[in-house]
Amino acid sequence: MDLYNLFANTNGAIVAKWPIESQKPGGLSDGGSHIGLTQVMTDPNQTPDPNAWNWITNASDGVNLFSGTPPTEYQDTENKIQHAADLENEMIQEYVPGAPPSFQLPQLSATQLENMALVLYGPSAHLRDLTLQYYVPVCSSGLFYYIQLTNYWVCVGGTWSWSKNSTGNPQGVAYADAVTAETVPR
Amino acid sequence: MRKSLLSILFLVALGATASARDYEGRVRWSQANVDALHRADRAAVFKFINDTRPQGSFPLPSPISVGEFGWLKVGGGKSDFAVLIDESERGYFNELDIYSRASGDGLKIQEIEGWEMGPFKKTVRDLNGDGVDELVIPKEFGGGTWQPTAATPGWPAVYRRENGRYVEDSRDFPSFYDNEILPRLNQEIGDAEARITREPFQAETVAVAEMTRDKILRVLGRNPVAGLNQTYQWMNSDDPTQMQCAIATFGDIGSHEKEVRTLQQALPAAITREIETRNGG
Repeated sequence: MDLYNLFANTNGAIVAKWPIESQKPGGLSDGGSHIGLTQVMTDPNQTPDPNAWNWITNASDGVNLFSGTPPTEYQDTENKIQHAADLENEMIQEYVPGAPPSFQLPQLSATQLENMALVLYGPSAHLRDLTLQYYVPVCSSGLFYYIQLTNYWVCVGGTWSWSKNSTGNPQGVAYADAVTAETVPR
Repeated sequence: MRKSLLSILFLVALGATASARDYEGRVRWSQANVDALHRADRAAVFKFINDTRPQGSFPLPSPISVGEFGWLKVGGGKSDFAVLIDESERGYFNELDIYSRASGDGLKIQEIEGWEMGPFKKTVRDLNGDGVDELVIPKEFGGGTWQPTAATPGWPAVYRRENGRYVEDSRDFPSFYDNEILPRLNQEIGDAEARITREPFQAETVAVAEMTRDKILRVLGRNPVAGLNQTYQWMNSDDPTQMQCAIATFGDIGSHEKEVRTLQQALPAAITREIETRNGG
C-alpha cells in the first residue's frame, strides 16, 4: 500500500503502483477490487471471508478458485481447471476424426490444461465459446468441414491437434503467457 | 437424409475474433419474453441468458457473471436489452451482450468486447440527440498486458446501431471527443507535465495520455500518423511504459513491424530493470 502517498497525484488518485488487475484504464486504482498474490476479487463481506485483511485467506481463495473448491461468494461449483477440462472434453467430442489415418484430439497435458484455466481466470475469459480458449483444434495436413446436423467438425486426411489460439483470443493468450512468464520467488 | 439437413460448410479458418460476435438465440423473441425483464432481478436475467443461448454453447455457471443490465433506445419506442457480462467471475465486466429483435421474430444476440465497461450511465448515451442510444465502449490498446505498472491503457470507442446491430463508428462522433475526451486528455497531459520534476511516474502519465489523444486523432481521420514522431522518441527510451506506448502506436499506425520487433525484444530487460529499481535495487 502507498503508506506515504508517494504515488498519489494532486487529485489524490494513486497511479502506477497498484496491482495490475486492480485498476481502471489509465492506471488509476479502482479502489482495490483485486488484491493479493493471485489478485482475487475482494469479498464485500469480510467477516466470513477476510480476504482483504488475512493474506492466508486471500491466497487460499485464489488457489481454491483456480484449482480447489471455489469460495462461496463465487456461486460456482467448479474451479477454473474443471471448467477448462469441460471445454477440452467438449472440443474432443465436437472435433472428430474422419476416415483413417485421422486421429482424435489428444487429451491436454497438465501444463496445457493450466494454460486453458489461466485464460478463464483472467480478464479475457470466455467460458461459453470453444473458439476463444487458449488452445483451438487444428486439422493438420488435412481438410476440415462442419456438419451442422451433429455440430461436429471433421478432419479428413489429417489429424486434429491443439494450437495456441493467438488469433481467436489474443488478449487471453497474452494474459496466460504473462502469468506463466513470471519468475516465482524461491 | 435430406441434403439440407446435412449442411456441410467448408471453412478456411476456425473461430471468431473476440472483439464482437453475433449469435441467433435458441428461442424466438416472443418466446424469450424479453419484456418481462423490465421487472427482472439478477437471478432472472441469469436464467434468461442461459435459456436463450444458442445450442452448443456453454451456459454461464454463476449469477456472479451477470452485471448491470438495462434497455437501449433504438427509436420508434422500441428497445434492445443489454447486460454486462463477466466471464472470469472475478469482476471483469469486459463483455456487453445485446439482445434485439430480428426480422421474423428472431432473437439476435450481439457480444461486444471492451475493458471494464459500465456503469450504464457512461456506456449508454444518446450522443447525437436523435433518440437512439449509442454505446461508449472502452477499448484496450494492443500489446497484451502492460508491465510492470498497473496500467491497461484504453480509449473510448463509439458504437452506433446500424441495420439492427451495433458497429464501431467513432469517426462520426467528433463532438463527443472534442467536447469531452480530448480536453480531458490535454488537461491530464498539462497537469502531469507540470509535476514531472517533483512527482514520480508523471512521464508515464504523459506518454499514455498522448498515446490516447493521438489514437483518437487518427480515428477521427484528422491525422493518420498522429503521434508517429513522438513514438520514435519513446522507442529510444528505456522506460517500459513509454516502450509499450511505442509498440501500441507503431502497431496501430501499421507498417512498422521492424520497430515493433526491436521494442518487443528490448522490453523484457526494461521491465526487469524497472522492477529492480522500484524494489530499491
